[in-house]
Amino acid sequence: MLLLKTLLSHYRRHWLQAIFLLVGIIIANVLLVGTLLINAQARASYADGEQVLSIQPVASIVSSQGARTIPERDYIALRRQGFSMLAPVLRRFIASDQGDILELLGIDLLAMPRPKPEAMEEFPASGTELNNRSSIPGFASFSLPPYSLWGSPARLKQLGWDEGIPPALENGQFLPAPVAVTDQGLGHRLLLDIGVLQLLTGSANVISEILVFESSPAAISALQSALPTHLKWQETRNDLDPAQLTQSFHLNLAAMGMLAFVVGVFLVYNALAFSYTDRHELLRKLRLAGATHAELARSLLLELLVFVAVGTLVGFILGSWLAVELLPGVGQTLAQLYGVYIDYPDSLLSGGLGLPLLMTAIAVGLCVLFPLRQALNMPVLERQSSSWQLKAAAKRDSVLLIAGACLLLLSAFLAFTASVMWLALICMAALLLGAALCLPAILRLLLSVTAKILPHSWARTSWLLADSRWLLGPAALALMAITLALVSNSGLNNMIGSFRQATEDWLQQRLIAEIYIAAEISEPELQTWLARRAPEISLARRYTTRLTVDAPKSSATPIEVISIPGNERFMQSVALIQQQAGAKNAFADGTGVFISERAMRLGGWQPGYALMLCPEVSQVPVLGVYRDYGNPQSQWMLSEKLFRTCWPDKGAASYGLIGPAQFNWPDLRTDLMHDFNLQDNEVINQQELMERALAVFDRTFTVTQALNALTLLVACIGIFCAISAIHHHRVPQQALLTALGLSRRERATLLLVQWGLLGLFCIVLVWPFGALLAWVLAAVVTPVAFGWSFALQADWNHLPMLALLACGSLMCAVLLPSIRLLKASPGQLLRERST
Amino acid sequence: MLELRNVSKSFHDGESELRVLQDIDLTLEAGQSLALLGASGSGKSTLLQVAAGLDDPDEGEVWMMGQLLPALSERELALFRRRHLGFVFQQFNLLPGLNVQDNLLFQRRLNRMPDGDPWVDDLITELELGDLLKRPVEVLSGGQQQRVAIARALAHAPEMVFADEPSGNLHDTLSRQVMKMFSRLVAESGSALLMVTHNREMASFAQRRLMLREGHLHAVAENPA
Repeated sequence: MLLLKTLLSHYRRHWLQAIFLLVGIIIANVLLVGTLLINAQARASYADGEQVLSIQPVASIVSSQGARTIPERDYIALRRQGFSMLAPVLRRFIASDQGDILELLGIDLLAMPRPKPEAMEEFPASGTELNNRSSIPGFASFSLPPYSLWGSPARLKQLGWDEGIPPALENGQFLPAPVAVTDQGLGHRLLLDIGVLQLLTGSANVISEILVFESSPAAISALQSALPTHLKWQETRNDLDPAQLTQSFHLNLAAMGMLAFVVGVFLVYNALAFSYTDRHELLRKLRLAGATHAELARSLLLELLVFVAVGTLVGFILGSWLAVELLPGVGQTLAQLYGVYIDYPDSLLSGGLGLPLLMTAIAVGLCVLFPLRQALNMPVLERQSSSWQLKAAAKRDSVLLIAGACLLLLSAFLAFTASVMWLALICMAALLLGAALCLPAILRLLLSVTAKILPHSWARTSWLLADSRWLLGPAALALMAITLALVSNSGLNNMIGSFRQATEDWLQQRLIAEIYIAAEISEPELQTWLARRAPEISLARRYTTRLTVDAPKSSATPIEVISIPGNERFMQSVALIQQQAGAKNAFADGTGVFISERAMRLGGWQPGYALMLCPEVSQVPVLGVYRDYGNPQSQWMLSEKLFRTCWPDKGAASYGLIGPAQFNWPDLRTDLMHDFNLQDNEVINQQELMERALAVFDRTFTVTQALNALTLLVACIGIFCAISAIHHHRVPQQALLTALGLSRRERATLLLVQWGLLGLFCIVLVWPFGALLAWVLAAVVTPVAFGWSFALQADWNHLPMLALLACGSLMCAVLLPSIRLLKASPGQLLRERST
Repeated sequence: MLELRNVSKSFHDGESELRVLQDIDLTLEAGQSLALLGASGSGKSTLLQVAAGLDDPDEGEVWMMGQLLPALSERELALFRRRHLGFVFQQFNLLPGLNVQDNLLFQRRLNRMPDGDPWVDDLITELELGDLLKRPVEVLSGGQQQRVAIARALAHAPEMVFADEPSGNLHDTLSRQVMKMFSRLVAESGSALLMVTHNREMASFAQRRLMLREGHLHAVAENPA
């Protein structure tokens, strides 16, 4: 205990080092725990399935012809036949006046099964009689004027809505006043009375589906038999496994959490290294006094254990809070990208502390190995210690260089062989870590070369370069962290820019209709209307259906099947990245199909493969492969002729209006909406569709960029910690320099130039490794994860800004802890160095 | 060369005030050497720092080469030290990472003086540093480091040299050897020397000796020039 007390006394004088160590452990855990909990919550939601008021339907009844809605009279007819386990649902998407896309679920609360007793306490209170259905708490306010809109507290907060104040829509209408409802599995959806939603959206007498709730097997069987031919039974979401669909998304989220963990661990290593370096003198004296290696090691490790426990606990609490705050944003992205929903809990998620604690303990244990070994093995004789430290630092850098080179080789190997997501992520991680580990040796080399080139008579420069080489000992890891952040920044910038450009080019080619109609509409009526209103406009139909087939690489693969007209204009809109001879002609003739790139990469189909489409068309060849960015499902594209051969009863899912560019499209759109009573989001012009698609794209990468910025910030904190921790190592040098005649301004300038130079040297590494990272993301990770590939367009416009950011960040990070040093008078510095 | 008039200096330690220097008067002419003796903690280093312009007195004046040091700006003082003063400290004398030659010539190079100079060659020879020039200073012994520090302090031919316990870290024989070289070289260069030490034997190398006790200076003895 005496040893432990003596060692801990160090933190009484240098409490900042204790703070930095704790902060490093906390930062390592916050994002890690946050992303782990978000993923766990999502997995739990997927396992529970989509629910309405915490009740999961066993199935739903939908149109067998692919229509989005079914007549309400079908539901009424089934209820009249005695099937009471049914409830109607209308699902609509509307834009708020702030531009948020709202998923509204209209329900008939009377038809819903009674909520679970424990859930009733959470409802807005009204009646108290549980046996009387009409007195279900909240029933009156929900189902009777002026009505109310139910949403989870997290969703209402995300939208910026206040309870009791009706929110406005883009079209000028108002929704009922929102009410926060907890623990009802609402996720991002908003619940309101079905009649209100029908009125708001002009959907009189139609519903989206009929939910079927739990009932006896006999009743279920009878219901299935009673269904008319235009309706079909659909098991609850078993054609698309949300967990499988969203696997890549959650894996990326986990990777981000791990990256933040690694950066935090860098901070921890910094803090540990400095704490032990600062205690070299103390450790030396304790060894001279008779303390053994084992005793010192035990005490130091025990001290570390306390930090790990406290830091992990605080990080876990903050991470849980962060998960709750981020969940609505993640839920929105998942809903938009994949059409899946997750629930938003309104209290701290109850995840286990065990995994973060274990990971932190292992990581910190690895961090402490080198500094502990160095601290315990350094010579007890003082005179030998400074040269020994320099040699130890140089040796360490050589070891890191070898380790870095090995990781880079591993990354290169995996770049050409990785076929699954986790290997692709390891490839990326090995590249990043390898680059970071090579940094100290490369910086040492650059500094030595610079020192050789510049004249020795430049006294200030000679000192600056010598001091920078010394700084590589204590500050190397902080510089590695900032380089890691800059490489990620550069690589991501390049990749995102290229991907966005590829997506934009692809959209411009594919979207050839000026207006898209995604609504239930009578085609003959539309044809007649167009012939009268705009005879020069032609109507293109898009049919769609879903299949579940066995792919070469996986079984039970969900496939989205779509059609396009076989005319030349549409054929030109599909750019094929692989094709057989005469592919487009054969496609137009209906004797073959195209498949999406994802279907090829993840499903395993190739041009020439024969596909089983339907009994009427047993074997059709794959003629070509096309890009399908943003689609999380594999897709087959058929000509309209071939689609109608297989599924003649299916109605068109959407329409495109094509005509001359100079036509008055805005007026046509207005007239269309008016005459057919269509909503804004049901009639979309090409420009708006492109903007929406790109907005989803940008939103997808917002989280990535936010995390990247956070990583850079954390790295700068690491530099701040490093400089603060070596403060009393710098005092003797600054005291001497000031005595020899360097003014405060000169010393400040030297300090800023020194770190600016180190920042620039780091950029030397950022440029090539940022390019490599962009390539790995574009050519390895994205194809393996999503089945999409795109050409990487080298864009180095961001590098000057990145260089400025690197130098600026380093200069700011070192300035604050250096102010005291610069402001102190020479006498103060001399006195301080003597203590 | 150097004149201190009624110089006083105090330090505040929590609530109490410690008057380290009280009404100090001191004069040192060009080419003269003066040793300040006193017990550990008597304020010798403080007096040296005030005299060298490294610290400001609370009261009194410090004149050097006709300049009132406290009246100079921080930058002017730094430039003054760079050109006219040389320093030798007890420890932390050298800049790590630089070799012996770069350390030795550091202040000279700050003054944009050429590296090659007969005086510099003499210093290197007299202080037996010829074989050590390319060695990093971290691997030198204590005595070797002090010799390099002495060479650096004299290389730019300063008018005034300040030495704070220059042999404090060395054993007796080495101390005598280093002090002998030091005092001879200072005399050869024509610089004035103000040295603080707690060791009477080391102080005997200076022409004059003064004792600092309870904040005041007391005469000790004068050696003939």
